[in-house]
This record gives sequence, structure tokens and C-alpha cells, in this order.
Amino acid sequence: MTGQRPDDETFLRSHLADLPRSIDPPRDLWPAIEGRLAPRARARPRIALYRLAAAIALVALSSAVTWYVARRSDAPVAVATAPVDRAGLARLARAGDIMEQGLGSSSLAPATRAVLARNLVVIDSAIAECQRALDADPGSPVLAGLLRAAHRQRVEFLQQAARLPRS
Amino acid sequence: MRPAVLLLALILPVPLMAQQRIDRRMAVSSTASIRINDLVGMVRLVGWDRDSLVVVGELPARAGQLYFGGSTDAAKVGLEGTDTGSVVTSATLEVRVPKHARVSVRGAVVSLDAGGLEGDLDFITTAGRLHVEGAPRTVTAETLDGNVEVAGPVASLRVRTAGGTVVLRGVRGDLTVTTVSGAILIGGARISRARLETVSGEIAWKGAIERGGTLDAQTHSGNIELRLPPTLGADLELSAPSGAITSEFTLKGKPSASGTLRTSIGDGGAAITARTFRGRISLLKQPEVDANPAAPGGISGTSR
Repeated sequence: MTGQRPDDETFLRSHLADLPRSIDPPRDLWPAIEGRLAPRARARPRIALYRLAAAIALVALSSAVTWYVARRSDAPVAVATAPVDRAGLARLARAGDIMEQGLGSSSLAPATRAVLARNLVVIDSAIAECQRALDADPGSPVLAGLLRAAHRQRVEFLQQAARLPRS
Repeated sequence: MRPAVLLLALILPVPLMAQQRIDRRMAVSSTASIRINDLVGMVRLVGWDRDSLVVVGELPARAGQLYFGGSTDAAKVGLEGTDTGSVVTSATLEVRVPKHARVSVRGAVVSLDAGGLEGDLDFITTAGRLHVEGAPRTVTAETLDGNVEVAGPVASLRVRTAGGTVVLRGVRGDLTVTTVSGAILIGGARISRARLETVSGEIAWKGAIERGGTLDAQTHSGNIELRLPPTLGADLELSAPSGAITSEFTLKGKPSASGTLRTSIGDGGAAITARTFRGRISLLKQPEVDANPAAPGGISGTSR
């Protein structure tokens, strides 16, 4: 020890002059800093991320179903004369069910959900009525065409619902 | 007396404080792509001859903050921080765009009243409605419960609504309309292709179909009424398994056991398909003045 007090100006100046003008960091500190910041930074937008992921999934699902419907759909005139394709009807119905399940987990307003539900009842009633008629007359291409159209309308309606702006 | 004064003091300042005056302008190209997002209330969209984008009007404070900007080729207008839960229906904004611009409008609770557009219009809303007059090149509209009304020679039109009524007057070219329960009412049309589809709504058509063109009308439980030019030539496929088929045209043949009638009127040329599971199909001859839209009063006389 020199006996000088640490706050002595001369002492401080002499030591300050010895200090380097810059110091290279001994190692890359940023990964550790980022690691400590990351949990807090990501905690808040987690719900938003989930919503974004759900929206992306819904859009992807909608696109897949669009491709499916476009690939499978016949010209309207041809529908009435086409043979009854029960497997195709079942696939279309399944596509609609998947779309409806996807919408169930999306962030739609209650009023919007009510409108969707009301219209799905209308479509499902039409499907059930066509299905009963086709069961009674299994060979009718007209009834098959109407049933297929009702299923397609259900899928297209659910696709529209997936595109709705969120309030 | 005192409570009344207090009440007035509380109420009177609110409309003054709650309104924000909007007046924003920028230069854009004549065919700019303009996106209008999340506006609320009624928006009047006007196509004009100037190459500039203008937004004027008043918004309630709770309508949020207006953002406005972009480049000359792509601009964006919208609201952020909007409390749509309080339904800001008193908002009225006028948006002026170059008439050949491509305009996209999206919003949960926005209604659109558009005129003077000659470019493309794309509109998606949940609870809003759409009214368009003029001759946009294309109109694409989706609304869950709102009505859609388009009047003018739109060349390509796509409309989808669940419970809303669709009214179209004087449309041209290519047409697709889909509803769940809303009626589809069309007058003064002259189309090359039309697909009209509803589940429980009625379909009423009055218009001409170009030679080689197609008209497909389908409803599950509604009626279909087709008013056609008396001189129209068309191949018909009419299906009404549970309802009747009536016609002012002379139709050869009879419906099959499944309720389908395939026949022709005139010398054929166009293709008309109409199907209803529970409703009835009516073919009517429209008056000559409506059959020829160029005739005086041709289009105006077609609205229902």
C-alpha cells in the first residue's frame, strides 16, 4: 500500500492513464445475454404465437381442402348425369368435418360463431334431407348431384369462415 | 334541476371530444394497389381521375388510430387499436382512390359504399354490407351476414354471403354468386357464364345469356325463377324432384322419373341448368324492353 487514499486525484489520474483505451471481450457474451433475455421476451406473445400458428394451420387446411374440392368437383351439368360416387361423397363430408373442427379452435367472436352455427344448421339440414332421399332412391344421379353440391357448399362456407377478418 | 345540469355537463362534451377529424392525402400511381384494413362503420369508396389517395372524415376516438402510407404503387390505410367490441358504427370515412386502382378492403365490421371504380375491388367483411355502383373490372365480395348490391356492367363478379341477400343489376360477363340462406336476385344481366348457388334461398334471374354461354342455378329448398328473352336459344336441364316445373316457353318432352327435364328452346346455343330439391322452377318470358338492355329503360326496369 502507498498510504494514499483511493479518492486522491493524483492517484486516480496516474492509474487512469495506465488503463487501455479499449478492451476486447474475453469471449462472445451475446449468446448468454440472449439466453437470459429470451424467456422473458417470449413469454408475452405466446398466446399471439399460438393464435398465429392456429391461423396458419387453418389457412393451410383451407388451402388443402380447396385443392381437394377443386380436384374432385365436376362441372355442374355433368353432376346430374354422373354415377353415384359414395366414396367421393364420404371424402367431401370428411373434409367438411375437418374444416369445422379447425374453426372450433379459432378466435372468432361469439356473435360470428352464432351466425356460423345458424348457417351450418341450414346446410346440414339440406345434407340430411338429400341423404334420406338418396337412401330411398340410391340410383338417382340427380339426388347424388344435389347431395354432393350440399357437401361442397358446406366446405366452401367453412373456407369462407376461415378467411373472415377477426374482430 | 341540478341533476339535469349535471347530466348535460356529462353528456354534451362527449361527442365533441370523442370525434377525431381525419384528412390524409398522398400521391399514388393510377393503377396502385391499395389495401384498406380494419376500418369500421360506413366507408364510402370513390374512384376518381386523380392519381392520389385521400382519406377524409370523422372517427370516434374509440375507433383507434389511423395509419396511412406506402409507396406510389402500394399504399395502406387502416385502423389499429380499434375497440370493435363497442361497435363503432358512427364512423364515416370517405376514401378516394384512382379509378383504375386495385382496392382491397377487409374488416370485421366495415360496410362499403363504392362508386366510380374501374379497376379491381376485393371486399371481405364479417358483419358489413356492400353496395357498388359503376363498372369495376372485377368485384370479389365475401360477407357473412351482410347484403350485397351491385349495379353496373361489372365484367367479373364473385359474391359469397351466408345470410345476406344478393341483388345484382346490369352485370356482364362472368358471374358467381353463392349464399346459404340469402336470396339471389338478378336483373338486366347479360352474361357469358353464371353460377348461382344457395341452400335455402330463392333465385330470381332476369337477363340474357350469350350464345355458347352457361347459366347454372341451384338451390336446395328455394324456388328458381328464370325470366329469359323470348328469342333466346338454349339447351335446358331442369331438375325439381319434389316441385313443379312451369314454363311460358313451349317445352318439348316431359320430366323423367327423377324429376329432370332435358329440352331446348329456340335454336339452342346457350346452356341453362336449374336444380332445386324442394322448390319449383319457373321459366318466364321477359318483356322485350328488358331483353334488350340497350333499349330505353332496359336496365332500370329490371330491378325488383
